[in-house]
Amino acid sequence: MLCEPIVGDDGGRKKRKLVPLEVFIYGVFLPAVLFAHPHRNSLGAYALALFLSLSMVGTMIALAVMAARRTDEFQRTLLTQAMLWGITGTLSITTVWGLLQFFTDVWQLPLLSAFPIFLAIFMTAKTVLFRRYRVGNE
Amino acid sequence: MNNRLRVLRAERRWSQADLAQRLEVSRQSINAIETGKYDPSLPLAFKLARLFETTIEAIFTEERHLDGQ
Repeated sequence: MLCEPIVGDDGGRKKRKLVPLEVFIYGVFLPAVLFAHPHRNSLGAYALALFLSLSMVGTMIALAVMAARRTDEFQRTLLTQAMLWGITGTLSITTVWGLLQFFTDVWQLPLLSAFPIFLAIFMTAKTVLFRRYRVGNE
Repeated sequence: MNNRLRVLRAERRWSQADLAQRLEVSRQSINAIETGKYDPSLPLAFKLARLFETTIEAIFTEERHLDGQ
């Protein structure tokens, strides 16, 4: 299961466990996209699509569970706020781009980009929120 | 909401980290409550009251607006 940095008790320390998201994106996802493109409709391409989608869905579920299980209520609130920003930002971007696609000749935004957009906005919001409430020395 | 958390903590010579440990929350939470940036949930407010051997109303007071409401 993928993970993201965990903010420590003082709000400043970060720990990483398991496989970082960057390794997944550059080591698995991008090569998979490059492999799948010339072999469309093959069994391998379907299997790869299913594997990647299950990994991404698993990451989304892990994020939600991580937020819900956070024992500290204040940090849980911050994570929830970050997720709301992620959802709002993703819906906004895809809505605007969708309307642009409808009325103009802009290039089509792949459906697949929804998750990376959400992740980028969520991670940014999380960083900003936890930094805002970071505790210095007493 | 205003609160007397810092005063009550200082009376017992506890640091924010000490208080956080006793309440099983992060120091970040304690700091946010003390600075008025976050209002604790009811269970946490009851925990605070029990820890300081007082009532919730003795720790937290409602902010009064200029028009007195």
